[in-house]
Amino acid sequence: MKATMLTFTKQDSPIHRLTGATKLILFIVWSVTGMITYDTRCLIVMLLFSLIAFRVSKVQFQDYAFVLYFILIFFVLNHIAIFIFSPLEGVKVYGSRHDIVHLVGRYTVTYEQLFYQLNIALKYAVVIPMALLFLLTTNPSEFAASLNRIGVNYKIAYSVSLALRYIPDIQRDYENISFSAQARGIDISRKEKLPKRLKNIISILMPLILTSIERIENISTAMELRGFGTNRKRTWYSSRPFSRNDYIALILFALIAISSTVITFYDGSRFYNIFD
Amino acid sequence: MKTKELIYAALFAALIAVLGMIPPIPLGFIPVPITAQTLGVMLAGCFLGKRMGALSLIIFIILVAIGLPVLTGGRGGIAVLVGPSAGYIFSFPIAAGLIGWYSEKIWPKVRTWKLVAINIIFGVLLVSLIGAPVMALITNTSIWAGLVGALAFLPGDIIKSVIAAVITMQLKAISPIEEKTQI
Repeated sequence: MKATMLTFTKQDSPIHRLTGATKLILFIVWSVTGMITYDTRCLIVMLLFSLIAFRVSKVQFQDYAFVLYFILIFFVLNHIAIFIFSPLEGVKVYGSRHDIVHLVGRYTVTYEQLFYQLNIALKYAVVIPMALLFLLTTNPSEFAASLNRIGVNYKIAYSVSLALRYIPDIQRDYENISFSAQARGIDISRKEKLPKRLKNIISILMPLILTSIERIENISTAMELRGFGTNRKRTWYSSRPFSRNDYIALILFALIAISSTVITFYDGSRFYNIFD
Repeated sequence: MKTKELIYAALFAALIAVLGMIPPIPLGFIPVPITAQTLGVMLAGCFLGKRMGALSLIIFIILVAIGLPVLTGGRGGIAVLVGPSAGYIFSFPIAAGLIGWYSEKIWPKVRTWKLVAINIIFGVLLVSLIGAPVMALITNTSIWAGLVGALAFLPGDIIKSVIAAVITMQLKAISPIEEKTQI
Protein backbone atom coordinates (compact mmCIF):
# COMPACT_ATOMS: atom_id res chain seq x y z
CA MET A 1 0.00 0.00 0.00
CA LYS A 2 2.45 2.64 -1.20
CA ALA A 3 -0.16 5.08 -2.44
CA THR A 4 -2.09 7.28 -0.06
CA MET A 5 -5.79 7.08 0.57
CA LEU A 6 -8.16 9.59 -0.96
CA THR A 7 -7.89 12.81 1.00
CA PHE A 8 -9.53 16.18 0.95
CA THR A 9 -7.42 18.97 -0.54
CA LYS A 10 -8.37 22.57 0.04
CA GLN A 11 -9.23 24.24 -3.25
CA ASP A 12 -11.41 27.10 -4.35
CA SER A 13 -13.90 25.83 -6.89
CA PRO A 14 -17.68 25.83 -7.29
CA ILE A 15 -17.77 22.17 -6.20
CA HIS A 16 -15.74 22.77 -3.06
CA ARG A 17 -17.99 25.68 -2.13
CA LEU A 18 -21.15 23.56 -2.09
CA THR A 19 -22.07 22.46 1.42
CA GLY A 20 -21.34 18.88 2.41
CA ALA A 21 -25.03 18.22 2.96
CA THR A 22 -25.81 19.24 -0.60
CA LYS A 23 -23.08 17.03 -2.02
CA LEU A 24 -24.20 14.09 0.10
CA ILE A 25 -27.78 14.40 -1.13
CA LEU A 26 -26.63 14.89 -4.72
CA PHE A 27 -24.34 11.87 -4.51
CA ILE A 28 -27.09 9.61 -3.16
CA VAL A 29 -29.60 10.80 -5.77
CA TRP A 30 -27.00 10.36 -8.51
CA SER A 31 -26.08 6.84 -7.41
CA VAL A 32 -29.68 5.67 -7.16
CA THR A 33 -30.53 7.19 -10.54
CA GLY A 34 -27.48 5.58 -12.11
CA MET A 35 -28.45 2.21 -10.66
CA ILE A 36 -32.10 2.37 -11.74
CA THR A 37 -31.67 3.19 -15.41
CA TYR A 38 -30.35 0.97 -18.16
CA ASP A 39 -31.28 3.52 -20.80
CA THR A 40 -28.12 4.18 -22.77
CA ARG A 41 -29.18 7.70 -23.74
CA CYS A 42 -29.66 8.74 -20.10
CA LEU A 43 -26.40 7.11 -19.05
CA ILE A 44 -24.42 8.94 -21.72
CA VAL A 45 -25.87 12.32 -20.73
CA MET A 46 -25.18 11.59 -17.06
CA LEU A 47 -21.62 10.55 -17.91
CA LEU A 48 -20.96 13.81 -19.72
CA PHE A 49 -22.39 15.71 -16.77
CA SER A 50 -20.16 13.79 -14.34
CA LEU A 51 -17.04 14.56 -16.35
CA ILE A 52 -17.93 18.25 -16.60
CA ALA A 53 -18.47 18.43 -12.84
CA PHE A 54 -15.12 16.72 -12.34
CA ARG A 55 -13.42 19.22 -14.62
CA VAL A 56 -14.94 22.16 -12.76
CA SER A 57 -13.71 20.85 -9.40
CA LYS A 58 -9.99 21.29 -10.22
CA VAL A 59 -9.15 17.98 -8.53
CA GLN A 60 -5.69 16.78 -9.58
CA PHE A 61 -5.34 13.42 -11.31
CA GLN A 62 -2.61 12.21 -8.96
CA ASP A 63 -4.99 12.74 -6.04
CA TYR A 64 -7.07 9.77 -7.13
CA ALA A 65 -4.98 7.92 -9.73
CA PHE A 66 -4.11 4.98 -7.50
CA VAL A 67 -7.66 4.37 -6.35
CA LEU A 68 -8.90 4.73 -9.92
CA TYR A 69 -6.49 2.04 -11.17
CA PHE A 70 -7.58 -0.20 -8.32
CA ILE A 71 -11.23 0.27 -9.27
CA LEU A 72 -10.49 -0.34 -12.95
CA ILE A 73 -8.88 -3.68 -12.17
CA PHE A 74 -11.94 -4.79 -10.27
CA PHE A 75 -14.11 -3.38 -13.06
CA VAL A 76 -12.44 -5.67 -15.60
CA LEU A 77 -12.75 -8.70 -13.32
CA ASN A 78 -16.43 -7.90 -12.86
CA HIS A 79 -17.10 -7.90 -16.59
CA ILE A 80 -15.20 -11.15 -17.09
CA ALA A 81 -17.29 -12.69 -14.31
CA ILE A 82 -20.56 -11.47 -15.86
CA PHE A 83 -19.71 -13.15 -19.14
CA ILE A 84 -18.53 -16.37 -17.50
CA PHE A 85 -21.64 -16.79 -15.37
CA SER A 86 -24.25 -15.43 -17.72
CA PRO A 87 -22.98 -15.29 -21.32
CA LEU A 88 -26.46 -14.83 -22.79
CA GLU A 89 -27.87 -12.35 -20.26
CA GLY A 90 -28.12 -9.72 -22.96
CA VAL A 91 -30.11 -12.08 -25.18
CA LYS A 92 -32.53 -12.66 -22.31
CA VAL A 93 -32.87 -8.96 -21.59
CA TYR A 94 -33.39 -7.68 -25.10
CA GLY A 95 -35.35 -10.64 -26.46
CA SER A 96 -33.38 -11.13 -29.65
CA ARG A 97 -30.12 -12.74 -30.70
CA HIS A 98 -27.37 -11.68 -33.10
CA ASP A 99 -24.30 -13.90 -32.81
CA ILE A 100 -20.84 -12.53 -33.46
CA VAL A 101 -18.68 -15.58 -32.82
CA HIS A 102 -19.13 -18.92 -31.08
CA LEU A 103 -16.33 -19.66 -28.63
CA VAL A 104 -16.88 -23.03 -26.97
CA GLY A 105 -19.74 -24.89 -25.30
CA ARG A 106 -22.38 -22.43 -24.17
CA TYR A 107 -20.15 -19.41 -24.74
CA THR A 108 -21.16 -17.34 -27.74
CA VAL A 109 -20.42 -13.64 -28.07
CA THR A 110 -23.54 -11.73 -29.10
CA TYR A 111 -24.24 -8.09 -29.87
CA GLU A 112 -26.91 -8.16 -27.16
CA GLN A 113 -24.39 -9.24 -24.52
CA LEU A 114 -21.89 -6.60 -25.61
CA PHE A 115 -24.56 -3.91 -25.47
CA TYR A 116 -25.74 -5.13 -22.08
CA GLN A 117 -22.23 -5.02 -20.63
CA LEU A 118 -21.67 -1.63 -22.25
CA ASN A 119 -24.60 -0.32 -20.23
CA ILE A 120 -23.11 -1.78 -17.06
CA ALA A 121 -19.80 -0.14 -17.90
CA LEU A 122 -21.60 3.17 -18.34
CA LYS A 123 -23.22 2.72 -14.93
CA TYR A 124 -19.78 2.39 -13.36
CA ALA A 125 -18.52 5.35 -15.33
CA VAL A 126 -21.46 7.49 -14.22
CA VAL A 127 -21.21 6.76 -10.50
CA ILE A 128 -17.45 6.58 -9.91
CA PRO A 129 -16.56 10.21 -10.77
CA MET A 130 -19.28 11.51 -8.45
CA ALA A 131 -18.12 9.22 -5.65
CA LEU A 132 -14.51 10.36 -5.99
CA LEU A 133 -15.65 13.95 -6.30
CA PHE A 134 -17.66 13.79 -3.10
CA LEU A 135 -14.72 12.38 -1.15
CA LEU A 136 -12.11 14.70 -2.62
CA THR A 137 -14.05 17.96 -2.28
CA THR A 138 -15.69 17.57 1.13
CA ASN A 139 -13.90 18.47 4.33
CA PRO A 140 -14.22 15.50 6.74
CA SER A 141 -15.14 17.88 9.56
CA GLU A 142 -17.99 19.27 7.54
CA PHE A 143 -19.13 15.79 6.59
CA ALA A 144 -20.30 15.05 10.13
CA ALA A 145 -22.35 18.23 10.06
CA SER A 146 -23.85 17.09 6.77
CA LEU A 147 -24.97 13.76 8.19
CA ASN A 148 -26.48 15.52 11.18
CA ARG A 149 -28.27 17.88 8.81
CA ILE A 150 -30.02 15.02 7.03
CA GLY A 151 -31.25 13.55 10.30
CA VAL A 152 -28.55 11.22 11.61
CA ASN A 153 -27.95 11.46 15.37
CA TYR A 154 -24.97 13.75 15.93
CA LYS A 155 -23.00 11.16 17.87
CA ILE A 156 -23.32 8.62 15.06
CA ALA A 157 -22.57 11.32 12.51
CA TYR A 158 -19.44 12.26 14.40
CA SER A 159 -18.39 8.60 14.61
CA VAL A 160 -18.51 8.34 10.83
CA SER A 161 -16.44 11.48 10.55
CA LEU A 162 -13.90 10.06 13.01
CA ALA A 163 -13.68 6.77 11.13
CA LEU A 164 -13.16 8.68 7.89
CA ARG A 165 -10.45 10.79 9.48
CA TYR A 166 -8.53 7.91 11.03
CA ILE A 167 -8.35 5.52 8.08
CA PRO A 168 -5.09 7.13 6.85
CA ASP A 169 -3.63 7.06 10.38
CA ILE A 170 -4.36 3.37 10.90
CA GLN A 171 -3.09 2.65 7.41
CA ARG A 172 0.16 4.37 8.30
CA ASP A 173 0.32 2.40 11.56
CA TYR A 174 -0.12 -0.81 9.61
CA GLU A 175 2.71 0.08 7.24
CA ASN A 176 5.06 1.05 10.06
CA ILE A 177 4.31 -2.10 12.04
CA SER A 178 4.59 -4.27 8.94
CA PHE A 179 7.96 -2.82 7.96
CA SER A 180 9.29 -3.08 11.51
CA ALA A 181 8.18 -6.70 11.75
CA GLN A 182 9.73 -7.52 8.39
CA ALA A 183 12.96 -5.87 9.51
CA ARG A 184 12.95 -8.37 12.37
CA GLY A 185 12.55 -11.26 9.96
CA ILE A 186 8.78 -11.73 10.03
CA ASP A 187 7.86 -12.58 6.46
CA ILE A 188 4.29 -12.54 5.15
CA SER A 189 5.17 -12.91 1.47
CA ARG A 190 4.79 -16.08 -0.52
CA LYS A 191 8.35 -17.15 0.32
CA GLU A 192 7.08 -18.41 3.67
CA LYS A 193 4.95 -21.50 4.30
CA LEU A 194 1.25 -20.98 4.97
CA PRO A 195 1.02 -21.77 8.70
CA LYS A 196 4.05 -19.57 9.35
CA ARG A 197 2.52 -16.75 7.31
CA LEU A 198 -0.71 -16.91 9.28
CA LYS A 199 1.21 -16.77 12.54
CA ASN A 200 3.13 -13.78 11.20
CA ILE A 201 -0.17 -12.09 10.31
CA ILE A 202 -1.13 -12.32 13.97
CA SER A 203 2.23 -10.79 14.89
CA ILE A 204 1.35 -7.77 12.79
CA LEU A 205 -2.34 -7.47 13.66
CA MET A 206 -1.74 -7.63 17.41
CA PRO A 207 0.28 -4.40 17.65
CA LEU A 208 -2.04 -2.77 15.11
CA ILE A 209 -5.01 -3.42 17.38
CA LEU A 210 -3.04 -2.36 20.45
CA THR A 211 -2.04 0.96 18.90
CA SER A 212 -5.65 1.50 17.81
CA ILE A 213 -6.84 0.88 21.36
CA GLU A 214 -4.28 3.31 22.73
CA ARG A 215 -5.54 5.87 20.25
CA ILE A 216 -9.12 5.13 21.34
CA GLU A 217 -8.20 5.83 24.97
CA ASN A 218 -6.54 9.12 24.09
CA ILE A 219 -9.31 10.32 21.80
CA SER A 220 -12.21 9.45 24.08
CA THR A 221 -10.55 11.05 27.10
CA ALA A 222 -9.78 14.20 25.14
CA MET A 223 -13.33 14.39 23.79
CA GLU A 224 -14.93 13.94 27.19
CA LEU A 225 -12.69 16.62 28.65
CA ARG A 226 -13.99 18.92 25.94
CA GLY A 227 -17.60 18.26 26.86
CA PHE A 228 -18.63 16.02 23.98
CA GLY A 229 -21.96 14.27 24.47
CA THR A 230 -23.23 16.28 27.43
CA ASN A 231 -26.14 17.79 25.51
CA ARG A 232 -28.86 16.42 23.32
CA LYS A 233 -27.88 18.63 20.40
CA ARG A 234 -24.77 20.47 19.30
CA THR A 235 -23.59 23.22 17.00
CA TRP A 236 -21.10 22.64 14.20
CA TYR A 237 -18.03 24.74 13.56
CA SER A 238 -17.83 23.56 9.95
CA SER A 239 -21.52 23.77 9.18
CA ARG A 240 -22.44 26.15 6.39
CA PRO A 241 -25.83 27.50 5.38
CA PHE A 242 -27.32 26.57 2.03
CA SER A 243 -26.43 29.16 -0.56
CA ARG A 244 -28.03 29.99 -3.87
CA ASN A 245 -25.61 27.64 -5.63
CA ASP A 246 -26.73 24.80 -3.39
CA TYR A 247 -30.35 25.27 -4.34
CA ILE A 248 -29.45 25.55 -8.02
CA ALA A 249 -27.44 22.32 -7.87
CA LEU A 250 -30.21 20.49 -6.00
CA ILE A 251 -32.85 21.58 -8.51
CA LEU A 252 -30.63 20.67 -11.46
CA PHE A 253 -29.96 17.17 -10.12
CA ALA A 254 -33.62 16.66 -9.29
CA LEU A 255 -34.52 17.50 -12.89
CA ILE A 256 -31.91 15.07 -14.22
CA ALA A 257 -33.07 12.29 -11.89
CA ILE A 258 -36.75 12.78 -12.74
CA SER A 259 -36.08 13.04 -16.47
CA SER A 260 -33.93 9.93 -16.40
CA THR A 261 -36.54 7.93 -14.52
CA VAL A 262 -39.39 9.04 -16.78
CA ILE A 263 -37.42 8.31 -19.95
CA THR A 264 -36.35 4.95 -18.59
CA PHE A 265 -39.79 3.70 -17.61
CA TYR A 266 -42.21 5.42 -20.00
CA ASP A 267 -42.25 2.43 -22.33
CA GLY A 268 -42.70 -0.01 -19.44
CA SER A 269 -39.20 -1.48 -19.51
CA ARG A 270 -35.98 -0.48 -17.77
CA PHE A 271 -33.95 -1.42 -20.82
CA TYR A 272 -33.40 0.76 -23.84
CA ASN A 273 -33.68 -1.71 -26.70
CA ILE A 274 -31.82 -1.01 -29.94
CA PHE A 275 -32.56 -4.45 -31.36
CA ASP A 276 -36.29 -3.98 -32.10
CA MET B 1 -24.03 5.49 24.63
CA LYS B 2 -20.81 6.65 26.21
CA THR B 3 -18.23 8.64 24.28
CA LYS B 4 -15.64 5.90 24.59
CA GLU B 5 -17.97 3.35 23.06
CA LEU B 6 -18.53 5.65 20.10
CA ILE B 7 -14.78 6.00 19.60
CA TYR B 8 -14.32 2.24 19.80
CA ALA B 9 -16.93 1.79 17.08
CA ALA B 10 -15.48 4.55 14.89
CA LEU B 11 -11.87 3.42 15.04
CA PHE B 12 -12.77 -0.23 14.55
CA ALA B 13 -14.69 0.78 11.45
CA ALA B 14 -11.51 2.49 10.25
CA LEU B 15 -9.50 -0.61 11.19
CA ILE B 16 -11.81 -2.87 9.19
CA ALA B 17 -11.44 -0.49 6.26
CA VAL B 18 -7.65 -0.76 6.49
CA LEU B 19 -7.84 -4.55 6.74
CA GLY B 20 -9.61 -4.49 3.40
CA MET B 21 -6.48 -2.97 1.87
CA ILE B 22 -4.11 -5.67 3.11
CA PRO B 23 -3.08 -7.90 0.18
CA PRO B 24 -4.91 -11.25 0.23
CA ILE B 25 -2.97 -14.39 1.10
CA PRO B 26 -3.46 -17.14 -1.46
CA LEU B 27 -4.11 -20.65 -0.24
CA GLY B 28 -2.33 -22.87 -2.71
CA PHE B 29 -5.04 -25.50 -2.91
CA ILE B 30 -8.06 -23.28 -3.59
CA PRO B 31 -8.79 -20.35 -5.93
CA VAL B 32 -10.14 -17.97 -3.29
CA PRO B 33 -7.44 -16.15 -1.28
CA ILE B 34 -7.79 -15.19 2.37
CA THR B 35 -8.83 -11.57 2.74
CA ALA B 36 -8.48 -9.82 6.07
CA GLN B 37 -11.72 -7.83 5.97
CA THR B 38 -14.09 -10.47 7.32
CA LEU B 39 -11.48 -11.14 9.98
CA GLY B 40 -12.21 -7.57 11.06
CA VAL B 41 -15.92 -8.37 11.29
CA MET B 42 -15.23 -11.32 13.60
CA LEU B 43 -12.80 -9.27 15.68
CA ALA B 44 -15.32 -6.46 16.05
CA GLY B 45 -17.84 -8.92 17.46
CA CYS B 46 -15.48 -10.93 19.70
CA PHE B 47 -13.55 -8.01 21.06
CA LEU B 48 -16.05 -5.14 21.23
CA GLY B 49 -19.24 -6.90 22.24
CA LYS B 50 -22.65 -6.73 20.63
CA ARG B 51 -23.50 -3.02 20.67
CA MET B 52 -20.12 -1.59 19.75
CA GLY B 53 -19.43 -4.42 17.32
CA ALA B 54 -22.68 -3.91 15.43
CA LEU B 55 -22.28 -0.12 15.46
CA SER B 56 -18.75 -0.33 14.04
CA LEU B 57 -20.05 -2.35 11.09
CA ILE B 58 -22.94 0.07 10.59
CA ILE B 59 -20.41 2.91 10.44
CA PHE B 60 -18.36 0.82 8.02
CA ILE B 61 -21.40 0.40 5.75
CA ILE B 62 -21.98 4.16 5.85
CA LEU B 63 -18.37 4.63 4.71
CA VAL B 64 -19.01 2.20 1.86
CA ALA B 65 -22.26 3.95 0.96
CA ILE B 66 -20.63 7.35 0.55
CA GLY B 67 -18.24 5.90 -1.97
CA LEU B 68 -15.10 5.10 0.00
CA PRO B 69 -13.29 2.27 -1.79
CA VAL B 70 -12.78 0.31 1.42
CA LEU B 71 -14.25 -3.04 0.50
CA THR B 72 -11.75 -5.66 -0.58
CA GLY B 73 -10.72 -4.92 -4.14
CA GLY B 74 -11.26 -1.20 -3.78
CA ARG B 75 -15.01 -1.35 -4.13
CA GLY B 76 -17.36 1.18 -2.63
CA GLY B 77 -20.41 3.24 -3.34
CA ILE B 78 -24.11 2.60 -3.35
CA ALA B 79 -23.69 0.39 -6.41
CA VAL B 80 -22.10 -2.29 -4.24
CA LEU B 81 -24.87 -2.05 -1.68
CA VAL B 82 -27.45 -2.93 -4.33
CA GLY B 83 -25.22 -5.39 -6.18
CA PRO B 84 -24.67 -9.14 -5.83
CA SER B 85 -22.58 -8.77 -2.66
CA ALA B 86 -25.18 -6.66 -0.87
CA GLY B 87 -26.49 -9.51 1.27
CA TYR B 88 -23.05 -10.34 2.58
CA ILE B 89 -22.27 -6.71 3.40
CA PHE B 90 -25.54 -6.08 5.21
CA SER B 91 -25.09 -9.28 7.18
CA PHE B 92 -21.89 -7.91 8.73
CA PRO B 93 -23.59 -5.85 11.49
CA ILE B 94 -25.88 -8.77 12.29
CA ALA B 95 -22.96 -11.20 12.44
CA ALA B 96 -20.87 -8.85 14.60
CA GLY B 97 -23.82 -8.18 16.89
CA LEU B 98 -24.55 -11.88 17.42
CA ILE B 99 -20.89 -12.79 17.87
CA GLY B 100 -20.64 -9.97 20.40
CA TRP B 101 -23.80 -11.05 22.20
CA TYR B 102 -22.52 -14.57 22.68
CA SER B 103 -19.00 -13.40 23.54
CA GLU B 104 -20.44 -11.30 26.35
CA LYS B 105 -22.54 -14.22 27.49
CA ILE B 106 -19.63 -16.67 27.84
CA TRP B 107 -17.03 -14.10 28.84
CA PRO B 108 -16.44 -15.28 32.46
CA LYS B 109 -15.48 -18.75 31.21
CA VAL B 110 -14.34 -17.92 27.70
CA ARG B 111 -12.15 -20.39 25.80
CA THR B 112 -10.47 -20.16 22.42
CA TRP B 113 -12.49 -23.03 20.99
CA LYS B 114 -15.75 -21.38 22.06
CA LEU B 115 -14.82 -18.18 20.25
CA VAL B 116 -13.84 -20.18 17.18
CA ALA B 117 -17.22 -21.92 17.30
CA ILE B 118 -19.28 -18.72 17.45
CA ASN B 119 -17.12 -17.08 14.80
CA ILE B 120 -17.87 -19.97 12.48
CA ILE B 121 -21.58 -20.10 13.31
CA PHE B 122 -22.31 -16.38 13.03
CA GLY B 123 -19.36 -15.05 11.07
CA VAL B 124 -19.27 -17.71 8.37
CA LEU B 125 -22.47 -19.74 8.23
CA LEU B 126 -24.90 -16.92 9.03
CA VAL B 127 -23.18 -14.53 6.61
CA SER B 128 -23.46 -17.15 3.86
CA LEU B 129 -27.08 -17.92 4.72
CA ILE B 130 -27.96 -14.23 4.40
CA GLY B 131 -25.65 -13.42 1.50
CA ALA B 132 -26.38 -16.35 -0.81
CA PRO B 133 -30.17 -15.83 -1.12
CA VAL B 134 -29.70 -12.12 -1.79
CA MET B 135 -27.05 -12.87 -4.41
CA ALA B 136 -29.35 -15.45 -5.99
CA LEU B 137 -32.17 -12.91 -6.06
CA ILE B 138 -30.06 -10.18 -7.63
CA THR B 139 -28.20 -12.32 -10.15
CA ASN B 140 -31.25 -14.46 -10.91
CA THR B 141 -29.51 -17.75 -10.14
CA SER B 142 -30.41 -20.52 -7.73
CA ILE B 143 -29.74 -20.24 -4.00
CA TRP B 144 -28.16 -23.65 -4.11
CA ALA B 145 -25.57 -22.47 -6.63
CA GLY B 146 -24.74 -19.54 -4.34
CA LEU B 147 -24.29 -21.78 -1.32
CA VAL B 148 -22.15 -24.25 -3.23
CA GLY B 149 -20.05 -21.34 -4.47
CA ALA B 150 -19.64 -20.20 -0.87
CA LEU B 151 -17.88 -23.46 -0.08
CA ALA B 152 -14.82 -22.05 -1.81
CA PHE B 153 -14.56 -19.44 0.93
CA LEU B 154 -14.93 -21.94 3.76
CA PRO B 155 -11.26 -22.87 4.41
CA GLY B 156 -10.18 -19.24 4.49
CA ASP B 157 -13.06 -18.26 6.74
CA ILE B 158 -12.31 -21.05 9.21
CA ILE B 159 -8.70 -19.92 9.39
CA LYS B 160 -9.89 -16.38 10.03
CA SER B 161 -12.17 -17.63 12.82
CA VAL B 162 -9.17 -19.16 14.55
CA ILE B 163 -7.05 -16.04 14.06
CA ALA B 164 -9.77 -13.78 15.46
CA ALA B 165 -10.27 -16.08 18.45
CA VAL B 166 -6.53 -16.26 19.19
CA ILE B 167 -6.13 -12.49 18.97
CA THR B 168 -9.15 -11.90 21.19
CA MET B 169 -7.86 -14.32 23.82
CA GLN B 170 -4.47 -12.61 23.85
CA LEU B 171 -6.05 -9.16 24.15
CA LYS B 172 -8.73 -10.31 26.57
CA ALA B 173 -7.48 -8.24 29.49
CA ILE B 174 -7.97 -4.95 27.67
CA SER B 175 -11.24 -5.75 25.89
CA PRO B 176 -14.17 -3.40 26.52
CA ILE B 177 -16.18 -6.54 27.36
CA GLU B 178 -13.74 -7.24 30.21
CA GLU B 179 -14.12 -3.65 31.33
CA LYS B 180 -17.90 -4.04 31.38
CA THR B 181 -17.91 -7.32 33.31
CA GLN B 182 -15.60 -5.90 35.98
CA ILE B 183 -18.23 -3.36 37.02
